[in-house]
Amino acid sequence: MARRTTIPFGPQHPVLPEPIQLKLTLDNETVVEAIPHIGYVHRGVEKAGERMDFGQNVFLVERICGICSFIHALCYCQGIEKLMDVEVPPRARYLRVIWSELHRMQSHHLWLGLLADAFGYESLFMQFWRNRERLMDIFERTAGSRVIISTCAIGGVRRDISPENLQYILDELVVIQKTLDDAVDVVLNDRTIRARTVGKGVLTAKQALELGAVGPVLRGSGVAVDARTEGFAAYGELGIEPVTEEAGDSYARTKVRARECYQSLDLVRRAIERLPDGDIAVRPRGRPDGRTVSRVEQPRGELFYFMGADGSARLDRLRIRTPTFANVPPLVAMLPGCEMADVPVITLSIDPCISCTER
Amino acid sequence: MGILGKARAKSPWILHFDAGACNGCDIEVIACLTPVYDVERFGMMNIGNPKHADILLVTGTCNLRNARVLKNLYAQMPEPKAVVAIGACALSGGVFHECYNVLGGVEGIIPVDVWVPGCAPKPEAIIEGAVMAVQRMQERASGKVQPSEDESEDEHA
Amino acid sequence: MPETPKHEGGRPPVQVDNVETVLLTDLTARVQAAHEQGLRFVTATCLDAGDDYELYYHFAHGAALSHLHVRVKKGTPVPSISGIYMCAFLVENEIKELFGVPITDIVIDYKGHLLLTDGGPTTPMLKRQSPTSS
Repeated sequence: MARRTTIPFGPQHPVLPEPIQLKLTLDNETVVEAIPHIGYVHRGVEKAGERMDFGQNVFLVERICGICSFIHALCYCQGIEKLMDVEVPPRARYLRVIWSELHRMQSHHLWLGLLADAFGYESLFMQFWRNRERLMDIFERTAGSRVIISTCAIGGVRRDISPENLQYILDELVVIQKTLDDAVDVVLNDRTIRARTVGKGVLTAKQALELGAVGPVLRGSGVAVDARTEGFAAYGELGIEPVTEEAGDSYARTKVRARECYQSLDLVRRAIERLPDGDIAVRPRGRPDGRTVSRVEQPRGELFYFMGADGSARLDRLRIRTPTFANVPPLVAMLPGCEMADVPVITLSIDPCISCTER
Repeated sequence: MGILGKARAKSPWILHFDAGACNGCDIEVIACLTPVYDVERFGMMNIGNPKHADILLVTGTCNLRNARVLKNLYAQMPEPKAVVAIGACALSGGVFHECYNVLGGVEGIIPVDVWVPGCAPKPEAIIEGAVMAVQRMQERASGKVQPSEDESEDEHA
Repeated sequence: MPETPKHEGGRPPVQVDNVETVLLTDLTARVQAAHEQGLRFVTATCLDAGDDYELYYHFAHGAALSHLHVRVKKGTPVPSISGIYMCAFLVENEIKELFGVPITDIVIDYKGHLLLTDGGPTTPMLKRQSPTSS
């Protein structure tokens, strides 16, 4: 006779670098229900965003997430620029694309490595992470820091990239692409990995839209939504086609991320090629006033900021909706029906970033 | 020092817990395990089970909910053990020190042996911190330092 | 710090595009209509405006955004939209917890324990904190 058991998955679990708990109700080995319990890393960043002044907030929002810090700062700065009516110089817009795409690449490398590790493919994990170190070296060389690079500022960027460093990036990208080719080939074609991802955690396009999925989770279900197509920074001039896969399973989400690595490689190359000369920042004048929303595409999906200001040095409201926050309900819908043993991989397939989610 | 203590110092196993960090320090901790930094040359391995672990690496600011988990993990680790607090957040709360749901560092919750500053600290710094923690553990195993229950300040100076 | 005069240089405050202010009684029907049109629910935002709460519900259709705006007196129960958009349960729990907006009938109600813990702060996002909360 079937017996229902409740198993807590997390908060400290080897496959999760961060604490989140899923309360799983099981019928024998099959998951019947999954309820997420969060709050282990809640800090209260939104309130702090009302206490610090709008310039200091750039450093605060960068530290919401250490994996995509530049893109958080980009989203915030673009919102403030809208409120203050600042026109960002073209060179700064292209530099923003370069750093954003490098961040996306390192984030996808990190995730592909963690996925390999979840299957017990330790050397594949090492390969992705060794390749990722090359990207980290690029950050260190161009921005002076590995993780939180702090180069985005209101009105532009804080640092320029010299012609020698641009050439260095292009040279490194050649090596990165070569290693990536080999590693991605394993991830997408290995029999074991396919057996554990194909048809697991399926999310249909209709479900994905209804549950508010974003990023690779949404695109893996065949819905071509990518905030970059809006054309912020220099994406409008560079042109971008969202990467989509139809199947909606863990494999499709993996494939979307793998293909996005190549998309980012291409974008960085084209941005360097077309990088215009000129200033890298303008000095913003006055103070932000009014209300606006700002949207950018993070490695994990669409990042959404709502900002309210009343013309004083501090913001009236800073609302941050991060991609994983939107991807938790789809996860809750994906898990019922799967085997207990598949829970870690399916959870990983939304690329959870808990520090983003809880802020 | 007995043979067990010696063996432990040659191969200290690491447990990592994120107590509210931004992920920056966490990925640097994982980066230490990868080929470029390779902590395994010190015999260190990342392990998910606190009962097998010798060194606890903590990142993040701590809040009421994860402090309970952190205390549990620490209590489950066998003696001798050492704690390394990594990053500005784990030291003092860092940029989040004024946030409402932040206790401001690991120290008030469990005793800390080594502090690694930085936002985020570089992997080299984290490795040095872990190596210092091994020395601490050795001293503790040989009886030079009391077990870690009621001390949190002596080496800090 | 002295406050600078508003609207420096005569520039009017920026407004969010595509906002429609609706009455609380119409909210559920409007969200239902959005659902039928196939809009993707992005998130909700709550603002503390003195005696009132301001709620924004953000929707996306492809690349375009549209927003519903509701203004309610503090203490007025707000119906949950999680019966229509299941994914709203997280954000509604968050708003209920951090602002104290009485949102009723959320499909998964964490009863104030989504992000906060007993013994910690209560409704920390309000502008004016009651003296009992830390």
